[in-house]
Amino acid sequence: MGVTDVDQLVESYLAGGVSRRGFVKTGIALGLSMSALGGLLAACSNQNQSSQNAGSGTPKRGRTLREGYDLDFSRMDPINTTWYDPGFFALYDALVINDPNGSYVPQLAEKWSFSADGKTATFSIRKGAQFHSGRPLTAGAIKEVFDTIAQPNSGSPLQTLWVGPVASTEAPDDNTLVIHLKHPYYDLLNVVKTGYWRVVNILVRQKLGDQYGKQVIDGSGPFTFVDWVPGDHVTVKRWDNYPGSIVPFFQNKGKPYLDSIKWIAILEASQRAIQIENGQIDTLRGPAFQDVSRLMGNRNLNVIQLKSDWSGYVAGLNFTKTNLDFQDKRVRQAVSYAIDRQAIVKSLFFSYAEPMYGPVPTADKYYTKQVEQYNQFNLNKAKQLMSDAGWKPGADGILAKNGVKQQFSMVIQAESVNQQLASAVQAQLRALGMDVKVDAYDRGTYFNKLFSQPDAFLFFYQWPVPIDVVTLFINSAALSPNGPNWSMANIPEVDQAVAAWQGASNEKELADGGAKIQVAVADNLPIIPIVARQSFWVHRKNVHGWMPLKWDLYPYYNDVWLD
Amino acid sequence: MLIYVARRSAYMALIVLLSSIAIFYSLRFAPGDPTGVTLNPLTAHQAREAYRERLGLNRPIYDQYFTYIGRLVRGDVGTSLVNGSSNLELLKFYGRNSLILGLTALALSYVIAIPLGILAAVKRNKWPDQLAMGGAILGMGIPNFWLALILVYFFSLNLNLLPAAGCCSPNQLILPAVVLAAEGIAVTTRMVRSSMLEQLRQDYVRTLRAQGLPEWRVVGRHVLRNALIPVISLSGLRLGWLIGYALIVETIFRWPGAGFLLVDSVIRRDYPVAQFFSLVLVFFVVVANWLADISYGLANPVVRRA
Repeated sequence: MGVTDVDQLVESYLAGGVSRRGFVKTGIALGLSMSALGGLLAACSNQNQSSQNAGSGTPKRGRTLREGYDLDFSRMDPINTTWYDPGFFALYDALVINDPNGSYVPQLAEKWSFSADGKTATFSIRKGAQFHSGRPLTAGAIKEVFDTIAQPNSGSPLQTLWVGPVASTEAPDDNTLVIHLKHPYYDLLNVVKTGYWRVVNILVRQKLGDQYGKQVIDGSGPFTFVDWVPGDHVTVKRWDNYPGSIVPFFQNKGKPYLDSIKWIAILEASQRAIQIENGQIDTLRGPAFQDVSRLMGNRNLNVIQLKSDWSGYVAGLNFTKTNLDFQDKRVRQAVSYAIDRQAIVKSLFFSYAEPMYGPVPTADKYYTKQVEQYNQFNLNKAKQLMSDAGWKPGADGILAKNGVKQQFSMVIQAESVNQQLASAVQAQLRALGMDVKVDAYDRGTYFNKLFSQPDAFLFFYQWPVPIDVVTLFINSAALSPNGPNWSMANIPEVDQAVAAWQGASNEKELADGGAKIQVAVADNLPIIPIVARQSFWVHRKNVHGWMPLKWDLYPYYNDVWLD
Repeated sequence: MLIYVARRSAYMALIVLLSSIAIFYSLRFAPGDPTGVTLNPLTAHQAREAYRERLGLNRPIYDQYFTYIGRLVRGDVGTSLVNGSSNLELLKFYGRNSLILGLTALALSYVIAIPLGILAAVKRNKWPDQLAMGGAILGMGIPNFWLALILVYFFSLNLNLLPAAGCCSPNQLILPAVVLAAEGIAVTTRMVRSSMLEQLRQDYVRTLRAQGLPEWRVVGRHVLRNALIPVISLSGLRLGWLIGYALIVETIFRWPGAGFLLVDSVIRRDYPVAQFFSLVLVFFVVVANWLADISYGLANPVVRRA
C-alpha cells in the first residue's frame, strides 16, 4: 500500500468520484484497517463540512475572529523576522500564492512567464494595488523589497535561496517586474510565495529601521495592524480602503467581512482545546494531539485534519566530532537504523504523525517513495554497522573505540514534544550502546547553541516547500556559523543534488532534483529524519469561509465571516 | 528622625544600585542573547553579527552597563527589542493588569480571611474552627501552580463555568485571583484567629462584657479593632509575596501582568524589558520595606537608634 494510493482514494471520495461503500472496499483492498478507514471517513466528513461551511449562507459583516495560535508572535517584518505568523496573511500580499489544489494563482502578479532559456522571469503586476499608507504598490516597490533581501545584512533568513540564483531585478515600468537569473531557477515561485517574500513598503521600513514590524506595519493585505502584545495577542482590523483582491479562489473580492481578527498565543498545549471548547476562541491551530479525538467528538466544532504538516523533526550529528566517528556514514546510518520511528509515531504522537525516512513529509508534492528503502528500524543492522566501524560494547554496554566511549550530548529546544521525542531517541540509542545526554535550552539559548558546534542536535523545521529549507541544512555552502548546516556536513553527492534542484528550469527537472536530494539525504544522512506530524485545525461551527490550505501554512481571511 | 530617614533612604538607594548591577550582569552571563530570539535561526552569520553590533552586545559588559545606567539617569528607560514599545508604555499596560490582579487577590484574601478568622476564634475548638484551620493548612500546603491546574480542571474543563486563561474580563480574573489569594487567605485566617484569641483573653474584654455589652459589639467593635493591628502591619510584607507568586500565577493563567512580562522577557532575552521590570519590582519591594522601617521608627524611638 502506498500513501499516494490512499491520497488518491481520499481525493476521489472528496470529489464524489467514489461512494462511501466504494471507499471502504478500495481501502480494504489497499490494506487499511477498519479503524483507519473510520478515521479517514470522519476526517473526510469534517473536510466536507468545512468546505460546505465556506460557501453556505449569506456572509455577514462585522465581529472579531478570535484565533488560537500555538506559537508566540514574531516581529511582523517579512524581511527580518524570527518566524512568519498568520497575521502576515492578513497584512501583506505576495506576488503569487497557491490555490487549494496547489496551483500557482495571482495575488499581486496578474500573470508571469519564464523565458525559453529559463533565465528571465517576467511578472505583470496588477494595477491599483497600494500599501496601507496610500503609497502605490508598483513593480518598483516590489523591486525595492527584493533588492533589500539581497543585501548581506538584511537578516532575511533564506537570503541564500535568493542571492545564489538571482542576478538582478528590474522594473521597466510600474506594472512589469523582471527577475534576471544566473541560471534556470524554476524554484523561484516556491520561494516568492512564502511569508519572507511578502511585499512591504520599503520606504517606511527604511525610515523605522529595527523598529519596523513592531508598532508600525505597511503592507497591502486586507487588514491593517492594530496592536501586538508579546506573549499574548496580535490584533488587526479591516482596511476600509482595501482595493480588492484578484485571487481567483477567494469568493469575496472586496473588503473583508470581519471587523477585526485577534490571534491569541496559547503556548500551553492543553489550554488550546479547553479554550475552543469553552468558546473563548473561534478557531484554533495546533491542538495537543491527546485532545484531538475529544475535539472531533464535540458537536460544536469541526476538526480539519491535514495529513501532514509542512514540517519535520530531524536530528543532526556533528561531522567534526571525529572522535565519535560522526563523519563516518556507517555510524550515522547505525544511529538512523536504531530509531524506531513507528513506535515514536504511535506512542508519542497518538498516530497523528508519520515516520520520515527521507528529509520531507510524504504530503510534499516532490516526495519520492524511493527513500522508504532506507532507514527502516533494524537494531541488529545498526549494531553490525557500529561493529564494522570499530565500535565494540564495553562492560557497561556503552560502545567504545580506542578508549573513547560513544557518549555525547544532544541539544534540543525546551518544549514538551521535543523533550519527549529526545527522551525516546535517547532510550533507543541506549539500546544501540550510545550514551546520549539531552541538553534542553530555552529558545534564546538553543539557537546560539546550534551555531556553536554541538555534538548533536534535534531540530523541528516548518516550511511550505520543505526541500528549500532542507537544502540549507545539508549544503556545504551553508556550513555553520555562516549558515544553518549545523551538522557541518560536506557530502559532494548531496551538494550535487542541491545544485540539480536549484538549477532546474522546469517542473520535471525540479521534481527530479527534489528526488535526488531526498535519496542523497536518506542514504548519506547529513541530517537524520525522524517524524513528520499531522496538522490539525479546529473551528467552531459559526465560523464560515475559514479554510486552512494544504499548500501553505495559514488560511487567508478574505472570505471569513461569523454567524 | 531626619537622620534615621536619610540613613534608610541611603540603604534603599544602595540596594537598588546593587540590584541593577546584579540584574544586568546575570542577564548577560545567562547563555544565549537576543539574536537567538529576535532573528530567524537561518539568518546569515554576517547579519547576526551586525545586529549584535547595533545592540552594543560586542562591547565589554561594564561598558554596556554604564551606557544603560547613563540612559536611565537621563530618563531613557529603554525600549523592548521584541515589539518596540517603550518600557513606560509596557509598565502602563502590564503594570495596570498586575495591579488589578494583585489588589483583587489582596481584597479577596482579607474579605474571606477576616470573617473566617473571627469565626474560628469565637467558635474555638468547635467544627467551624476546625474547618477553617483545616482549610488554612491546606491553603498553605498546596503549591499555587497545582491549585491552578486543579481549578482549571474543575471550573473550566468539567463545569465550563470560567475561562481557563486570558485577560481582562471579570470572569477571567476569578481563577488567577483565587489562586493568588489562596495562601494569603490561609495565613491571614490563622493570624486573625490567634490575634483575636489573644485579645479575647484581655481584661478590657471582661470589663466590656461585665458592662452588659452585647457579644457582637464586644467582638466586632472592640476586639477586632485591636486584633487587626498585626494583620495590617503584615500587609507591607504581603506585597513582596504577591510579586513573587504573581510571576507564577500570571504565567499559568496567561494574565498579561508585570510578572508575566518579566518571565517572557527573560526567556526572549529582551534585555531592556527584563532589566527595567526586574528593577521596578525590586524598587517596589524596597520602597515597601522602607515605608515599614519609617513607620516603625515613628512608632518606636528605640528602632531609630538601632
